[in-house]
Amino acid sequence: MVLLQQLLNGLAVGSIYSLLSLGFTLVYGVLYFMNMPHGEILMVGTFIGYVLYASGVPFGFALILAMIAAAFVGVSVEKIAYRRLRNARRLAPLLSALGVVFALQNGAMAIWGTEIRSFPSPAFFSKIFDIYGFRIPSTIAFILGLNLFLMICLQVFFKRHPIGISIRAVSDDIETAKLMGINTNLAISVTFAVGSALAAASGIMLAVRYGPIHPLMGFSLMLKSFAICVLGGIGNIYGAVVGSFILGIAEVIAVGYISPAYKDAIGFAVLIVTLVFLPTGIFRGRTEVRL
Amino acid sequence: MQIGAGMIAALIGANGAGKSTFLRTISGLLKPASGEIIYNENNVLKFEAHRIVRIGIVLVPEGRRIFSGLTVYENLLMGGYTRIRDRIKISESIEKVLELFPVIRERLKQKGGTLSGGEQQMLAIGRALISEPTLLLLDEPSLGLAPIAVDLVFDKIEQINQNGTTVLLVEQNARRALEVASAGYILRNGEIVLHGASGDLITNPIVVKSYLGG
Amino acid sequence: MKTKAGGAIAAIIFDRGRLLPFTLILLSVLFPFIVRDDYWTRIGVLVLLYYIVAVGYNALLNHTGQFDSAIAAYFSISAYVSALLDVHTGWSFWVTLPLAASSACVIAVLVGSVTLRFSGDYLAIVTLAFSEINRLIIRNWIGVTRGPLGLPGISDISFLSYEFGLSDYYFFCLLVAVLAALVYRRLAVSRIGLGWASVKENVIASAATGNNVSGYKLTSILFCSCLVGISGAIYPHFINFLDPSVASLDLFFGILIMVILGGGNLIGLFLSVLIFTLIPEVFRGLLVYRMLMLGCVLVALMNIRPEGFQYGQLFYIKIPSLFNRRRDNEIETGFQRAERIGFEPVASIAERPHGEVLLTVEGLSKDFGGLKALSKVGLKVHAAEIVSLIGPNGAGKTTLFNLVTGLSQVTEGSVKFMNTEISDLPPYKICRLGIARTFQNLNLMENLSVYENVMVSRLPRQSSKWNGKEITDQELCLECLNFVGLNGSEGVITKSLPYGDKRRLELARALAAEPKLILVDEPTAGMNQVEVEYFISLLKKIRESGIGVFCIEHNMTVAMGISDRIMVLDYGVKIAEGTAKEISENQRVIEAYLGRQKC
Repeated sequence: MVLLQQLLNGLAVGSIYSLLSLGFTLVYGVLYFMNMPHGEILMVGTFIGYVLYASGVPFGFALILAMIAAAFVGVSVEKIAYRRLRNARRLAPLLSALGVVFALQNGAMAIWGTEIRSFPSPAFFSKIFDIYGFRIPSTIAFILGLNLFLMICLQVFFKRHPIGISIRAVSDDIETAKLMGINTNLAISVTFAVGSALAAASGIMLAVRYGPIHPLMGFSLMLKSFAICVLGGIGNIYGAVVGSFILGIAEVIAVGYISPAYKDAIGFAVLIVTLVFLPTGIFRGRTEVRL
Repeated sequence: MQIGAGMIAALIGANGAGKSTFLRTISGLLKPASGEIIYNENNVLKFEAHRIVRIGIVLVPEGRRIFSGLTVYENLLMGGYTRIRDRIKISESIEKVLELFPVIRERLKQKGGTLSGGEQQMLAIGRALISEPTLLLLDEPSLGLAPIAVDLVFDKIEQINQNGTTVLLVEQNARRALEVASAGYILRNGEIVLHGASGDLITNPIVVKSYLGG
Repeated sequence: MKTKAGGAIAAIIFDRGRLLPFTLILLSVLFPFIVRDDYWTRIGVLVLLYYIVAVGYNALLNHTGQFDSAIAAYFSISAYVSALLDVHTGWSFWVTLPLAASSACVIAVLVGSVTLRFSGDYLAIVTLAFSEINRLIIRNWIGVTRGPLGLPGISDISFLSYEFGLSDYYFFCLLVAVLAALVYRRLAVSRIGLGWASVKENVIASAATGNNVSGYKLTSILFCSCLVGISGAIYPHFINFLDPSVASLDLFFGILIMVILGGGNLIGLFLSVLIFTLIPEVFRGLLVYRMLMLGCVLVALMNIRPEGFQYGQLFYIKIPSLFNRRRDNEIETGFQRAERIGFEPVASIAERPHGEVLLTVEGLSKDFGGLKALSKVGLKVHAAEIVSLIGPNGAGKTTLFNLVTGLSQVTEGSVKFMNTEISDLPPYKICRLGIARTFQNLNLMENLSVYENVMVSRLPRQSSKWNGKEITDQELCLECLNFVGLNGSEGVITKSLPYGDKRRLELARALAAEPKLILVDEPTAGMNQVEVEYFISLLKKIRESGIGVFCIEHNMTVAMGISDRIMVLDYGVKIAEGTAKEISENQRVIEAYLGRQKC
């Protein structure tokens, strides 16, 4: 029973991670670029949600507004820090990305200070559903439900909506996409917007159930989503989802049976093991030239 | 170079002469060092690539460049991206293209990367027609095709032209290109060295020797 | 914003003369006596410690182009090892120094080697992850490191029972800093330095010319972590205390900006270390605002002036004075010069017996996830012959080259070079066996000089025999440049070469690798008639010297004119092989490639 309870926990964490790493892998698929400030965008979105909710905005609205704000931040980051460097030497956009990480982290600390805060729990989250003897806290139900909903939205968007299909076209062949009349800059901006909005949603879900928020929270989450994407095969959507659940369940088991202090170390261990033994990931991401 | 409405012009030359570069510059993928591109009395030199498509100039790039991860249907859909909102028109255009290239119809749900080389070429040309361009740029459409398919392609080009589309054709296969075109331009090392009515060029002994293989 | 005056001043500051460095060192030696203030002398020691780290990281980031984010981690590892050994064993600093520094080295090499087969993004993020884990361990392993409380009471460095005072630290660190700079300078102009630069400039070209790029990456990591470790070992003794703040990412970020701004030269590095250590002292505001500003500075720097304080070209290797004729105003092409002085290419570069089979390809296939690029291709290339590979675009010709040279992995089939199976070898080993190549889209190192580009081929080799007598690497490079008609252009920066010269430079680089077989990929594309004829004469001379030439060529006149045999590829299948006459009459080839009249 306890094990199944833990499993449920793991699923919830895994589904949060999958939203997060989807954003990361989407950007990689379109630009072949690892968006290092991804965690910081999550953090900014979460803080904005926190500020809104703490000042009385209803939870649902706070969530949506935070996602929109994060989308805005993500698009701005791309425009300011990366756009001019698309054809530059490999190192330049990476370094610029690191600069954004520091700017956002410290900007957040300047605005909101460095103390750790708790996301106040909305009233309707204190219920616990009892199904067939399982005790499902409403927060977990909410998380699983929201994740499912967002996943379906993504599926529909990328399979049906013209901009979604155009994003897939851009990640396939950006030059030919231009020849179709696709505004590739718009497609890239939308990708960043979607990824950032998803990040904000994951951050708020994490905050609601799993932990306090502070300006440095995003960094280790970005490292985890990187580990997940490498595990699943970089650039591969299914890989990101599968990898997320693997990591989520592994973390919950480790915390339950080993020690809570080194929860973050699990992700790192996963990363090292994958890089050494399964470099292209489970679903064979984009392979590199072997020199 | 001057291309009048409704004609087929051929640009021929050896590899490395700059034919693809020329087409890519007109399409907005490359920016020229100097000069002008005037289309319907507008200077479109500074237009970005996607805007060029919107004004009716569409390029079918060299080497089949279809989206291998998207289905055939999605490829065609992307061809009509500029008027994607008008679902009815898009369906009509797709239907017309499928009539022109029936071999694609069976493969609508397959991923582009699984098609054979010839089928991909058909798809690439068909995709360009979805947006009903006024000027169609073709970069080596017959390259890598079996002879029967080459015949088919040039027939289709004539048909497309008769339906009102102006065509600029870049080809290594100089003979076929000049047969179907009304005017020809010879490009060498980035410069036009000869141009005229295609009928004259075909019989011009220099052209015959260099490009038509005797 | 380049004015004439600004340019002149910059030239004086960053010129490679001796005056400025000597002046700086002199000023540094006199500095404590000039200020006579402990506070500023302490700052001076910190500047020097940072400078040692910066010299190391400059070698890794600016010189080799590897973005390693775990510098603070390596620093902290060395610092903690040094501090813990001091506190628990009381060993002398001179014993703990090598132990601490080498622990940093070992960790750095281990972490780096995990990401060697991946692109630079991976190194950046994996080292970030490692940095985080290291920080977590240092903070939480209270039993050993005492966590945030830190380790107090670390003793001063002592030398023969004499304990270091403040000025002793200063001069000791100054000595180490100067030594570090000198060692780097020596390395930078050596074979290793050029090897590092080749990895940064064009890692594919470097591998294809026989260089073990992983080895160069690791030596660079080793050098960097060594200096970082030395600085890290000194640090806790200097402040007699150590806490987890040395493992923070903020420290790394500061070093990163210093090194980027420094632009790869030692003086610029010193300037930026000075600026960034002094700024916090002058503006004693909140750390967060400083870091926020630094973040924005980095983004701006990358978008506006990524080369930092670099001025002019960064050439590493000095061109031997033998042929040192620089032409700054007008670049006469090598070919024009060759014509003018009426030179003759060198007769033989290698001695191979005629008719020997060099390359055997059997049943070679390549799949790109569903797309069959090559299907069961078989062929042979012999010494002293020119074989051309022709076919329509997309037929698989360059794919074949990539499979033979190891840049792409074989799906099925075998590739043998002189009876050695090479299909599973990495590119650099294949090159060392005797295959060299040029690239369709040119893979030169644009920011290096012409001479250095050719020299890259010599890095993995010893000097050799030519025309029966011993010849040094320098002479060999110059002769190869001579052969293709680029003598006189040795000191020119590659990116300013005219297109035809660049093509011939790639040929010279390939020849310098002393190949038995050369693969030439569309060598005459974009050349005018005169250049094409000259290039053809070069290929013929190469054939005469016994080297096998395997050529992808679109220009039918060239292909028909120079080839002993022609092979035709279409849709990944070899459809014909024979002499030029046979091919031009082959029906299938005509239909596929040459074009056919409408019946």
